[in-house]
Amino acid sequence: MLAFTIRRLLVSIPILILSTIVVFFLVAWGADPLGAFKSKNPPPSAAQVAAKEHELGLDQSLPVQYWHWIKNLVLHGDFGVSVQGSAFDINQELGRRTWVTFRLVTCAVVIALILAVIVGVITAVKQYSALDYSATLVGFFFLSLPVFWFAILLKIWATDLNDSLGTDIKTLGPPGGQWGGVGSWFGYLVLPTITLALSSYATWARFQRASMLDVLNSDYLRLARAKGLSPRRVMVRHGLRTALIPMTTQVTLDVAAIMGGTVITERIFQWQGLGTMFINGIQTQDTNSVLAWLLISATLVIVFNLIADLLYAVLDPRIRLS
Amino acid sequence: MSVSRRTLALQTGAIAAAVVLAATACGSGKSGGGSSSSGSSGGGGDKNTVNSATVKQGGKITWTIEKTVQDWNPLTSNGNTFDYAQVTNGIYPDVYVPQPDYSLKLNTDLMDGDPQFTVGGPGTPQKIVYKIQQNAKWSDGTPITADDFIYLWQTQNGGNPNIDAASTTGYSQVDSVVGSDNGKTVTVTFKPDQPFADWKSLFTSLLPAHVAKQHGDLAASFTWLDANPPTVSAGPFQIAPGGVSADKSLVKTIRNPQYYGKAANLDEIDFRAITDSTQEPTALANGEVDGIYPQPQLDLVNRVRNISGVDYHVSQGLVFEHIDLNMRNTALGGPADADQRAPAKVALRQAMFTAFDRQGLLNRTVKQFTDNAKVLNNRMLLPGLPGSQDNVTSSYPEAGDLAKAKQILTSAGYTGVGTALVDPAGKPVPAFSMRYTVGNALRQDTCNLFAQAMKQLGITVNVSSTDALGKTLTQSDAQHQWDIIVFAWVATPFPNSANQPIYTTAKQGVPLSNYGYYSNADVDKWLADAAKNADEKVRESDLNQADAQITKDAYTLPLYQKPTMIAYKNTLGNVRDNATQIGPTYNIQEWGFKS
Repeated sequence: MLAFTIRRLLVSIPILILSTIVVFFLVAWGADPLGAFKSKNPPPSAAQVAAKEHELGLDQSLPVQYWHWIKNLVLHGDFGVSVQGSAFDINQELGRRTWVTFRLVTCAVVIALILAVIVGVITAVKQYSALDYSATLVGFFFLSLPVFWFAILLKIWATDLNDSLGTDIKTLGPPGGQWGGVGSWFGYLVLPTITLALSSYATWARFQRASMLDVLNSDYLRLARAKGLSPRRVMVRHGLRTALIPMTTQVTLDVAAIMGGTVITERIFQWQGLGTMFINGIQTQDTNSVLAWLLISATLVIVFNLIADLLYAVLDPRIRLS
Repeated sequence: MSVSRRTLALQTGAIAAAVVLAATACGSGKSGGGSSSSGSSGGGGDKNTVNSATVKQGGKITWTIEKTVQDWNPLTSNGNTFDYAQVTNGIYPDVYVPQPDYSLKLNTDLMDGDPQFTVGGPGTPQKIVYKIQQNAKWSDGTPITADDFIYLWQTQNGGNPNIDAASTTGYSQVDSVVGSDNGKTVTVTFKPDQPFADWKSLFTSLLPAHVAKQHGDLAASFTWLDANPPTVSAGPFQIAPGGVSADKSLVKTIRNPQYYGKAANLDEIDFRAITDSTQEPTALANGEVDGIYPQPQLDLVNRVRNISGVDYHVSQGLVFEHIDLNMRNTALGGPADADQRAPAKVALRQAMFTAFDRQGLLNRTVKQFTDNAKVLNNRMLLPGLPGSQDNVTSSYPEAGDLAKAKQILTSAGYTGVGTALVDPAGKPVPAFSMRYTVGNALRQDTCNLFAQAMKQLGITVNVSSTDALGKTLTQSDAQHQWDIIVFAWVATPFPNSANQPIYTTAKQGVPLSNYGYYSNADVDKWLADAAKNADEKVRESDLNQADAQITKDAYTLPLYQKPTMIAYKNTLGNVRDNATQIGPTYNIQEWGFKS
């Protein structure tokens, strides 16, 4: 297992390097970090523009810029200077924002996963029942919901709920990622968690249902029943356990995508996480900031892929790692 | 607020989604209480006294800004941002404060009487003597002195290439700033023959020279002040200890107990960043913020209108939209400045502007949420500024005049009018490229309407977007990225110097902000005079003459002022819109809860 892990990690390195090259050149060609500065009114002088270009290293060729960027990143862990402002430190922002997004995503994933497994198993066991059809309908409804629209709707409902019941549900994220006591914690999390969880839930519940149906119709489960094992034991110990293996892989891979895909949810609920960092970076043509975000996203995908492979190997002894 | 008061789209969505969230939806009926919202579209009344009220001492509010604060020095190029200024307005004082009606009011807390102004003339430099109040001091007890004025001038005069100053306008014409009378008198002397008419725009956001001194030389200290929240204040508010959240989305300011003027009414004002303006009404309705200042759009205004206990006002701002023509285009002008003065080309440009229905554009866009929106007919002196007058409609009627436009073209020798336009030399008029900022639906509509109007003249206009307006504008000559463009300028209460870089002939190929390479010697002369003439009436006349000439030359067509909107809890007094660059927090110390 250790050798497998090391081998996968080593394979990840060239993938990461390749992704930095692609990402760097795409971003560098796509945006001028001094675009906003140059279009100020009154416009900056040529000397001011030249000084800024020199400060940011933009007066060098793209390969040289890339070399300096990757060198600083590898040797000093430095993602470079941001054009978003003197107080904007990309390294600090990345660390803080990853934590903010991680907390948001974790809550959503846990809730979505629990719901999905429960609903997936029940609908598989009660296949073609009214319950199955209802759950399928609800699942497709959530799958087809535009996240931005549903999130706004939730906010309006929450505001009305606060007015009528005196609850304290927040429509904005916690400033600085600090959310105080348990009541406040709940108030901040409830809306973005519902938004993020429901779309994941819908996908995972369908996946779990299909996986469970495969298992329920398998020969070994029929044999277990024939041997007189209790239905509960057949279902939980032999059925669910096996049906969870592909689900585990699916969820692990999805978590990386959700981490990188919280852009809309974070923006609507004003959580200052990785998603808003990406949007702000694009809006201000802050190439270093966008690069940092993309690199973190690429790393997350690679890491979670690795975790998925490892989990698969652990859960299913039939997998031959050699 | 009941669900039935939402927009139709949301109602439909609410009904559909209620299938799965019925319990929540059922609980959403409002229990009543609170007064309904009230609003206005600006217009009548004294802009300076809207929402004036007697207020009580104490209390805390949260005000919305639209950016997380990443720069703390309002005088750097990055720090010179409207949202940041909303925070620092209460901390770094100005000598003159722009008022909502665009007039300028002396900051009498800071200054001891009007500055003494000496008109410059041949051999006599312009001179201004400022007297600082004896009790004026920073929150750490250090007196406010000439040193603070000198530091500001040294960092803004463009003399140090390592200083990233937002603007050197005016300061670069100052020869010396000298302190006397224990630092409480400041004498500012301009360079000979370089008077500056907009001298009241100088010395805004006074920075603490004594703090700067502790952080290196001029450039280093200037950068330090940008990267760090203010440690001292000379205004009615100061940053609370630990008051800046790690993500800079929340800045807490508290009353400055050392303030030398009238103390602020509120104990605390928190500034909360909401970077997506469409989320602001919900935050206001939910009580997470007490006031917002978003760019109004139809849906946003409607949502604010439905929030109970909130007052809102939509007014005309100082940002105005306009259409510009590129004088380097060979059909509209040419590579040499003189080309744009060819009668046939002038006629073509005039016909294009004459045919366009500006009133129709307004009716389809901003008029939908503010009755007071009007077509703009002066580029330099916007309505409300002294001397403002209509310099456009006599040439280009607000509703457009297609027949007149065709007549202009026919008289100039054009053929194919209304089908495929051919110039007097027999050459087909080429298709023009019209650009707008990507994602800006209002500008996209403008372009499409303009293209439709041009089609009726036999001119093809191809509309496309740009995701880098600055880059597109500045490459107008070499890369020829646009023939016609729609964008906005931000006017100021200081029009005398602001318009010079926009319309003055490009020198040595450098157009400053004159992106379309317009050139007219008379306009150059009038604008140069306006920037330095001490007589206000002469300056107004200069600007109006220049504006009328630009109309005649058909270089730009002003469209309309972009509206501004302020919305706040109706328990707040003395909160009002200020459409100038200073924004609503210009009178932050007067804000308070109505008594």
